[in-house]
Amino acid sequence: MENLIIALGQFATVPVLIAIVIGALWGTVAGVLPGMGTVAALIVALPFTFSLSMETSIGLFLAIYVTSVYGGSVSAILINTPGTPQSAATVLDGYPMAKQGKADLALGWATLASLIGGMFSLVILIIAAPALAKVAIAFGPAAVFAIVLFALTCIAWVSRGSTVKGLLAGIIGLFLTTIGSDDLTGATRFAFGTDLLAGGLALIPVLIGLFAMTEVFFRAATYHEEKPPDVTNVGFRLPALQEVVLRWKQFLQSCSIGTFIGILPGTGATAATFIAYSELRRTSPRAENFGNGEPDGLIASEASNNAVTGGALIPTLALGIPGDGGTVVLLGVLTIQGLVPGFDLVKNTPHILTGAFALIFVANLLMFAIGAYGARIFARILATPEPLLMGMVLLFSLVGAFVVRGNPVDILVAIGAGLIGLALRFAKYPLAPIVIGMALGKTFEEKLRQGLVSAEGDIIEFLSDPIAIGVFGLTALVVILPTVMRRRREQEEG
Amino acid sequence: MPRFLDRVVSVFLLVIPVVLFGVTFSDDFDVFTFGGDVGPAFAPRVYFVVWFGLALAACRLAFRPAEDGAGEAPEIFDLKQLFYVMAIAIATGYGMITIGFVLATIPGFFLFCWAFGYRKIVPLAIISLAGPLAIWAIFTFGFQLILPKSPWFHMM
Repeated sequence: MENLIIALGQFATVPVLIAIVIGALWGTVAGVLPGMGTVAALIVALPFTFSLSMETSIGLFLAIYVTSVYGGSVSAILINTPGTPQSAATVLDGYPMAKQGKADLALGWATLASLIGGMFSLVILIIAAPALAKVAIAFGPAAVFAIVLFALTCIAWVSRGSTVKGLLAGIIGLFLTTIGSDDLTGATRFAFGTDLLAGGLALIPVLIGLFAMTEVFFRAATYHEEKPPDVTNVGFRLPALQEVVLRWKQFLQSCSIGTFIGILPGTGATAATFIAYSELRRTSPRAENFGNGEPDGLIASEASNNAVTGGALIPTLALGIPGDGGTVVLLGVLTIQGLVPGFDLVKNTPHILTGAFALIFVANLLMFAIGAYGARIFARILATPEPLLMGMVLLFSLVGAFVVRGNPVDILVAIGAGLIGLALRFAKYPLAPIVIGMALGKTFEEKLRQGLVSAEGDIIEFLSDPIAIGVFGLTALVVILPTVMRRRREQEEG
Repeated sequence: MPRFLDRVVSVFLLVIPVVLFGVTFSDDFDVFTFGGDVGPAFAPRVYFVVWFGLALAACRLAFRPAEDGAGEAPEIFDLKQLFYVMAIAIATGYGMITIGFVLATIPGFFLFCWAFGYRKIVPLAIISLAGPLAIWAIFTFGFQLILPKSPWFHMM
């Protein structure tokens, strides 16, 4: 309670409120626009964090993070094109409902489900993040090393496409953190005599390149001018209360799946929505209506993808381990603001964590209000020409890359990362493991070497930490289990 | 194209760790360590060994014969448009460093959108002028963050 009072004193200010409203509006709009997505929305706002206070920055970015996931449902319902990959399953029942002339009701269900999903995961976040961070104090270097290895393995393993390519991308990310000065010995690694690399690669320009620039280039390769989508029946209507109460089990199932999957590093909201959708199609008493505008389908998709936001913040805030591109940007923003997620955040500045929870609560409420009153505006926004949109993303990406360190070289790093990212994307390599590898690489190497120093170079002693052994076992399970299960399935199928 | 690119990328990723592994034996990495520290070359060497093994597996997958054209996506890419857009983006980024944000991004934005396929010249001209100027003004006067400046003008 004391923390809440301090947090309210610190965060309930006019600039923070303005930032959270702007963030919620921008997040929703970016979600509505196909091609933008959560990471691009966060990247576009990134340059502003350098001149905002810590509280205002946190408000702005949390609001964008929470609301952008919801925005994707609007275009999924109105034009049969998900604004974000997380809303891909919303198309399945949202668009048929809109075609039946009930677009307003579909938006009502999606908005309500998003609000419930967001709030459910917030409650879990409030309970789990501080508890997990307090447990984390017992972790020695070997345990932290093992947890980072586990996170990287999970991320690569569940990446879209080939597992080998996901693991390879994660290793490339780890390697990129070794470029520049070695913190322990001062040796300059892989700089090849250039000042360009001697200072190391900053995470943000690489992230901007891999996500925003690659998306811009990819869209340029696939764009063909089309007439603006025809959007009719736009409005907002909430479902009747008894209809909502009737579906409490579906809400609970979707929220639980979303939150749990959010906690797992790398799995993400897209996977959560499809898992929740298929689970509800299996268990719902109205299963036969799925695909024909059934509200349960919308609940599955929208409650689960918004529940992922709170779940994904648990390892990010409690352990400093991001699970996807969006949480990497959030982690970057916290670091820029001088905050270290993990035990320090919980122990030394608990009011900031409490403030962040309060901001997520407000952002979810704003998301609902924007959804309720902004439906007609969304229809107009959907007509924004893609070239202009991508041009603006390019400009903000270049500015964002520059302002991180005020170093013009970072502009070239971002463009270079964009070109490499495009080649990797065409060759079907996932890009998220690269940035997550980069975000965790320093800690990974540091803990490995710290542990070995304290074990006087004895690798067996280093690895004999009981927590580390448990986590290594879990990592082995993550690697082995899917392969064994696949082999068994193949054998059964003959 | 995706399959061809997959092969090129896989081979490239196979060669890189071999070259970089060799680099870890250079003088840059030959520093004094103490108390059980494994030194600055240890982690990169581990990464390169794993990297090489995975790249080998990726290569094997990339060169495996496709089953009835599987993996060969239909050609939907407009390579000419992509090339122009990339060239303009690179030129705009380089221009920002050499001639400043405003002077580089006004023509850069215009050409970028044009190359991307936007053909309404009057709105494009207005947005190309107003957009970069607005961003520059917001950052310079609003946030007091100086964007790359031109060598010829004091402010922009």
